[in-house]
Amino acid sequence: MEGDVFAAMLIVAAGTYVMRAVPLAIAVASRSRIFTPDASGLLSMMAASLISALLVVSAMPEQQNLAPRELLARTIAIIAVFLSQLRWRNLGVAVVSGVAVYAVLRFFVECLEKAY
Amino acid sequence: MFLRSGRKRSALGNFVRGVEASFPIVLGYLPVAVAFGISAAGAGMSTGESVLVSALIFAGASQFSFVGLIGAGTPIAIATVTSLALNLRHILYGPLVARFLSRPRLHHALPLAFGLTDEVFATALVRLEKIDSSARMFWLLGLEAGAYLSWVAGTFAGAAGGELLLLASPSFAPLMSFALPALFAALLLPLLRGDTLYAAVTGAAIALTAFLLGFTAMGVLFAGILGPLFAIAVRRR
Repeated sequence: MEGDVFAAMLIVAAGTYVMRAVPLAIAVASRSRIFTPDASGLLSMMAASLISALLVVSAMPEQQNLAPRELLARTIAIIAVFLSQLRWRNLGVAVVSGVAVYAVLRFFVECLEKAY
Repeated sequence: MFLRSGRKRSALGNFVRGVEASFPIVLGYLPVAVAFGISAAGAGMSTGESVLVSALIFAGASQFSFVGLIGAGTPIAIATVTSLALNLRHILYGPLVARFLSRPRLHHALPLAFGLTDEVFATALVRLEKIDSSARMFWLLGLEAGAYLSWVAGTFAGAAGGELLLLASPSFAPLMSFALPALFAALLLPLLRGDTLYAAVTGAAIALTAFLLGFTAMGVLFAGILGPLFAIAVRRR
């Protein structure tokens, strides 16, 4: 790695840490002033909104691979995760169930593609 | 002395439970980290350099962007700013996690910030509430340690022998990459009640729109800001 690339990598690493650490440090330092019930409610909504956005972003296939059957397979697998979480309330089981359902669906899609 | 060793065991026990809780994250991280290792090697980085990038930055999208842009010959300043912009959403994570930590000291909180990735944040947010308040700090450290080690180890595997791994099992990586959305889906469900449902739906709509327009990372940041505002507006009507 050349010197300037190495320096850039260090800047990205330091910048990423600062973006994570400074708001956390401010929250810790001013805890009593910002965590009123209203603020807690707002933060809960923010958390749900962020995780929901991360779900959408991570579940979407690459732009060039937005085939309906791939989207359908992913949607069904996510529904399987929801059902598994409702039934067992276990994060590991829910994730493994989702991956297993997705694997089976992809297998069927590939078989169908080969057949037709 | 007995008390001190008991406290030590307890801290270690909480840390180990945190590591165990990182299993779903590890499941999702390994294939992505292997893919990053392969990309970094393809961009001309040695195995050591690839691992160093993962060890120091520990932010997937940002790392892919950095290596990809540098590899494509983009000016270094642009590659740096772009990679940093992708992590802007992380500024929202600290305050959300901090409210679950009981009387945290600054020197305890700062090491925690390093491992606050999307997946660690989401897992911590849902699970910390159910953990005894005195155990949360070490539990979170364990969660971060498990995620971090799998990320660095996966990068090493990808950089050192990733192409061999993919040749041996070409369909494995796409399947395992679904572990991350599965994790977010499992984490989202317990949060959906009352006003948070409106915020979640708005967040998803904003993220989807931004994704289709090609501004994925900014979409997550805007979702975090606009989702709650929409939910509050609905509540007031």
